[in-house]
Amino acid sequence: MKNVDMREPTFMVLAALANGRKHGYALIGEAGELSNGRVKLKVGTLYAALDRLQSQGLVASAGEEVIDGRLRRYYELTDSGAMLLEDEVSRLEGNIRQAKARLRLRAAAGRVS
Amino acid sequence: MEQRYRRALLWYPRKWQRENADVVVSTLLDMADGAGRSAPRRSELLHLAMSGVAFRVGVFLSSAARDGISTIALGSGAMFAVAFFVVHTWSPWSPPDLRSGPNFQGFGPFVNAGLIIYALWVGAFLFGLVGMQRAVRGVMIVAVVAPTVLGLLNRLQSDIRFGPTSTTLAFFTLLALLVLVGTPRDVQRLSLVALATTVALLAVEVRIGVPASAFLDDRYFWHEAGSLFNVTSLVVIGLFVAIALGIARRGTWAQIVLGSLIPWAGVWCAAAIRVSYWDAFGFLCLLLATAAVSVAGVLAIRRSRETVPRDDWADQ
Repeated sequence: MKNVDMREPTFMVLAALANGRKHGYALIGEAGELSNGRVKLKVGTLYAALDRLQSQGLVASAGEEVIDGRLRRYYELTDSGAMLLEDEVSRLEGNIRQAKARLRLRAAAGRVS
Repeated sequence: MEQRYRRALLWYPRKWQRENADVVVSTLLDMADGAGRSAPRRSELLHLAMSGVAFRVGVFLSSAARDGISTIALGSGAMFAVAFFVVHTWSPWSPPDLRSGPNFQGFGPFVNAGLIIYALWVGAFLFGLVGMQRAVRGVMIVAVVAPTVLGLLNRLQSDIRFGPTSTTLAFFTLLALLVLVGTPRDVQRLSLVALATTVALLAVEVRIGVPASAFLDDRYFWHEAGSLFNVTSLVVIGLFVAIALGIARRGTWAQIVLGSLIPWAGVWCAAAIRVSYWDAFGFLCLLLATAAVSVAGVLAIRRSRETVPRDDWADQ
């Protein structure tokens, strides 16, 4: 699946599900932790992303339970979702390597001049 | 609090509400508890409303189509704003006595207060060029409201002759709504749309007599360039192009063409009403029926051939 356009909220949702199933509230908290508080997923955005990821077969519903009168639905990463996340991580790592190499060249050029 | 959240979810389609409302409300209540709140935030309710509308739109339009429509609306709208400002609001080449009269108050050195709307568009375009999408969205929300306020103020002052005319105000309102449908994130396409619109507008303005004809208010632009014949031709050609694109399995482009025709459909209505109200109504019914059949056909073709699920539409 083409993943060059994966946006940050999508990445955060997939990454948050990488270590096990989670419900909506936990996903929002996990996305915040993963980004050091930078990404604050809104509820509307989260469930829109989950709907889309489910329709793409990247995320699946993993049961529901009622806690304190509130319905919680759990989500988990599918195998396709895990593969897509791995691809995206590799792509980002490649970008970081390239950027670091260029920064090193820049620093070296600065020392020469 | 729960009731207020449930009311906000009414913006979503009923089927979605049946399947998700309890889960989403629970998450919202968890969020409120976590933040120690006993009432929903206004921004939260607004975002739910916007997400609900986006979800409804997203059922019909892919993310790529919505971004394409948004890009065309921003690029073309900004250049229309520049042209309308220079030619129909400022008109520096026209003699000063042409811009005075008993029914005309002016707006500083300019002919009318259209400058306010046009400045918003130029600002949004510049934000779009540097990728500041939130700023674009914020300015466009103002640009949706501003024409209505300006139109009301004009009418209260009985200063409607020198506009901006209702057609201009409605045109820019529709364009602003289209910008908000998606995100104009492709800077190269945005620049291309702006360039193409500039070239087209230069040709049109020269054809209707600018600058030789001194001051021409925006009413003149719509009477000449936006005549019923011209706009009907444009809309009909656009519909045919959309149908052809749909048949050629270019569903996204078909949607972009159809969406981009919306402001012109508004101009068409205005032009038709100017000619004959009842004829316009008949034409409008015919056009709506044609458009509905065309859209249904395009969507049917697209869906029957659709193999790839729709991509991101909510990560904005």
